[in-house]
Amino acid sequence: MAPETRTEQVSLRLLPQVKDILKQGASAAGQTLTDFMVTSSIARARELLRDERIISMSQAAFDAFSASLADPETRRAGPRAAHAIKEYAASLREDGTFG
Amino acid sequence: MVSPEDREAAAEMNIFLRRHALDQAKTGISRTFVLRDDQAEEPQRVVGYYSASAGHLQPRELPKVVSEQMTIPVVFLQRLAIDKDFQHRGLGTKLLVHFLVSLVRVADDIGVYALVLEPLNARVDAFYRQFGLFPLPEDPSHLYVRIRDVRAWLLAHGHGRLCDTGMRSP
Repeated sequence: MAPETRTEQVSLRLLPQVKDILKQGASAAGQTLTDFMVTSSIARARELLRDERIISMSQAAFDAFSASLADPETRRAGPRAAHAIKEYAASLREDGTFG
Repeated sequence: MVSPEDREAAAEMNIFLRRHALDQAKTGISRTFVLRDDQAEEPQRVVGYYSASAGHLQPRELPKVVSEQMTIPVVFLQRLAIDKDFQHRGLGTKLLVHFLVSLVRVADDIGVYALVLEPLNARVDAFYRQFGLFPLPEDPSHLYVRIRDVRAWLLAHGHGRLCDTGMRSP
């Protein structure tokens, strides 16, 4: 990704002991306090978002998606898929494990 | 070269498996499958995993009375990861095919139309696109493939070992 400029600012007040803990965590992670707070909260936000099980889309996008589901034409496997499926089938053992 | 994004991604994958996978499986929110190497010195060691759950797509502005046609049931592949010591051996690809086989089996019995996932980064995105997934309309951060197509691929390339030939809709 291209380097981007950080233009947004968040200011917050913390209890001194909370800041101390964060500083210790940052130093354990080898990061500045800011970087530590940013990377930690990004990871948590991504985690929560990844667990979302509903995707809302515009009516136009939803209609386009519905139409693509109804399209009778079978889409071809991508170049990686055919090979991967063959390999997997060949490596599958009777007990369901593969090697 | 490991980028900060890769490190963040790896951290998230590890946290999920250690902290949340079991809870989510117990409550039925998602299911996690782990890959182990039964020939290894440490056969209990998890070398990879994936977790998936059911969900749906819907238009942003829903009318007051929601009919079934207004949501589309899908399966989300939320995470698929291989331990860094075991990467670059094709294990992720094998795990993905394993998931697709069980997904097609499930979709035979319940109405699921597509698999949807959100690649962690550009490299993962390229991998899935080469596999045959497409971006959602107006939303390139999510990729999807129709179950119908996956079934056709397994039939065409699986030497008859991966799914029944008895075709059932959808």
